Amino acid sequence: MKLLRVNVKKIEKVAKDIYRLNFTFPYIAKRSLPGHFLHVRIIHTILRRPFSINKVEGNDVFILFKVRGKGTHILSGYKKGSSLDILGPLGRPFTIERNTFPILVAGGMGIAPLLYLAQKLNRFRKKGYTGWLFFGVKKKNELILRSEFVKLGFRIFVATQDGSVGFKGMVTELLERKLKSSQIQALPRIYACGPKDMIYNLGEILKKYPSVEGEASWEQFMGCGLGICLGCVIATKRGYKRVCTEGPVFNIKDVF
Amino acid sequence: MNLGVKIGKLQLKYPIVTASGTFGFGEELSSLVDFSSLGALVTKTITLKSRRGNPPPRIREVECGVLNSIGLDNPGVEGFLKNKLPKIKKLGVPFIVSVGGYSPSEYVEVVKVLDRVKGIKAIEINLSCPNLRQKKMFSQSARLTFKITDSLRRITKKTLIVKLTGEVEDIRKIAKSAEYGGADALSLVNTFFAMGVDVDTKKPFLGRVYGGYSGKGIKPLSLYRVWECAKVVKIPIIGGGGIDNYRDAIEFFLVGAKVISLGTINLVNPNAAKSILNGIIKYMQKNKIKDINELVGGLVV
Ligand SMILES: Cc1cc2nc3c(=O)[nH]c(=O)nc-3n(C[C@H](O)[C@H](O)[C@H](O)COP(=O)(O)OP(=O)(O)OC[C@H]3O[C@@H](n4cnc5c(N)ncnc54)[C@H](O)[C@@H]3O)c2cc1C
Ligand SMILES: Cc1cc2nc3c(=O)[nH]c(=O)nc-3n(C[C@H](O)[C@H](O)[C@H](O)COP(=O)(O)O)c2cc1C
Repeated sequence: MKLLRVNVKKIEKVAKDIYRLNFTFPYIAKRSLPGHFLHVRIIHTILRRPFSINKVEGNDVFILFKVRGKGTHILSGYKKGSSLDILGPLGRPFTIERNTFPILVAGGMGIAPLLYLAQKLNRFRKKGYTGWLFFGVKKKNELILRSEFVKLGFRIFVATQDGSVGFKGMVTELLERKLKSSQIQALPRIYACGPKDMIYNLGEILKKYPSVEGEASWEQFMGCGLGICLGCVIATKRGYKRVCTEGPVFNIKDVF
Repeated sequence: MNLGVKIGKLQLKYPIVTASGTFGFGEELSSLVDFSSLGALVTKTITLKSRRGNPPPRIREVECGVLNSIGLDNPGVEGFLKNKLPKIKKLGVPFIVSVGGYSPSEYVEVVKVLDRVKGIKAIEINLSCPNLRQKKMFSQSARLTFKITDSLRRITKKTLIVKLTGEVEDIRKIAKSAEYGGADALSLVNTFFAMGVDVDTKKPFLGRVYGGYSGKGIKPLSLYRVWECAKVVKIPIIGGGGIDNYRDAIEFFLVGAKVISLGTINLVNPNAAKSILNGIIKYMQKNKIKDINELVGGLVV
């Protein structure tokens, strides 16, 4: 983990209100694992804002973000060459279990850390699919990055709230149906990121499949990102845990 | 040039400390921070028993500062001595242990334990945490401020710093009570009671509904309170609240703080002390000030 200054190499609009930014920094590119996040200082704000590592290509590191409030709004106005003050990589990453069948579950912007995970998982691909991606969104314009997952060997199942594409309803409902109706060779393992309700529903599904493990990346308002201010805790079965250091990735069974 | 100051028996190389709760126990930052720019670090407030703290969300940025309701989440004095103290000692920087409590007797019990520990030289008594169940803080009462300080003074010769809230009718009375009680120094201010609301969900920002406000927005308030106290007490004052650059720091020295404390800025840049110290040094060179003590209370009115 380091404090560093980098320059924005590229920032592009991926969809309405969604941007992707990258910079070159070998240390972060080499050290970071899927699930790690960067704590970014944005001008005219006070606290840093956390963003998952979305993808690493060579020495280039990407973050993908949605405009939600002041900080992300300002960040979306950054240009090529803008200076970025970054702290990272931070947090506890996903644990990759090689002999399991990866099932990625994304809700909306939860897609962000899962692409980097997909990149790593793709290295272990033998034959057939690397894994499955269940992607739930409100509206179809949020269905981003799908071609990148396809390239990495993922089979994609889509759920939209309005039914405009794919399954109409919750992504966890779709997942449960598939789990019931499909034969999966290896033991599935779930990796998720998305709204709390979605992770809660995953927890309910996992209760029906006791041998299946699931991990999810959590969000919380955050202070230092280093575990010192105790600001970003979530309630788990074993008390409050800091998203920045004991997370952001938690075993779903430890929380729900 | 002299930047050294003395707080009770504690000699500080530089007049900068970290504010409790914004620097953990220091050791968590050892790979990131250059401790050599710090006069001392102040630990997170510890209590007799470990405490789980307040429900989340606990921290949220607002327009001109930060709201927090951490609520004294800490490992307790035993956990501190066992797991934290050995690591703090290795950092090679002086440290001050912050102590909190829910009752006057809890302070006594904790300080009794700390008094027996050789490596601990200084204790900050947090009489101003706004996140406890009874909304009233001990340092809102001159009587309780005196009573607690006095009872602690009787059981320890270690340097005692009393940390006050700024939310009182007349802070001078409270400051004097702490001085009469035998405090070696005052630390002010702590956060101010505050809240925020998300109008879309109609929910408060903080899980606890209200919390403490820190950062830039409180700087003028803290500065005024330091100035008020500096006029009426002889003991040194550790002043802070909203400092994030060297000019802020100089303001506090000028109104009478002997040491400045950095809080919220540590959450953003844990190395802030370094750049602020460099700024102070440059300011002193430019203004031909040889000793930081010349700057203290140098306000021209
Ligand atoms: C470990 C971690 C990784 C993250 N990775 C990504 C990512 O890859 N891409 C991405 O777009 N976002 C990510 N986020 C969320 C991102 O940090 C917030 O969207 C961002 O901080 C919002 O800042 P803002 O100033 O724009 O919004 P603010 O003005 O701070 O808030 C606006 C609104 O956004 C929501 N919000 C903001 N921050 C949070 C939060 N931390 N938790 C829950 N709700 C929040 C609230 O509804 C709030 O009212 C991540 C969060 C965490 C904790
Ligand atoms: C996240 C956070 C946690 C804090 N925890 C404590 C604490 O445990 N004990 C204490 O005396 N003050 C605590 N404070 C108050 C700070 O020490 C400091 O007095 C206050 O924040 C004002 O300074 P600042 O504006 O520089 O942050 C905390 C402040 C913050 C922001």
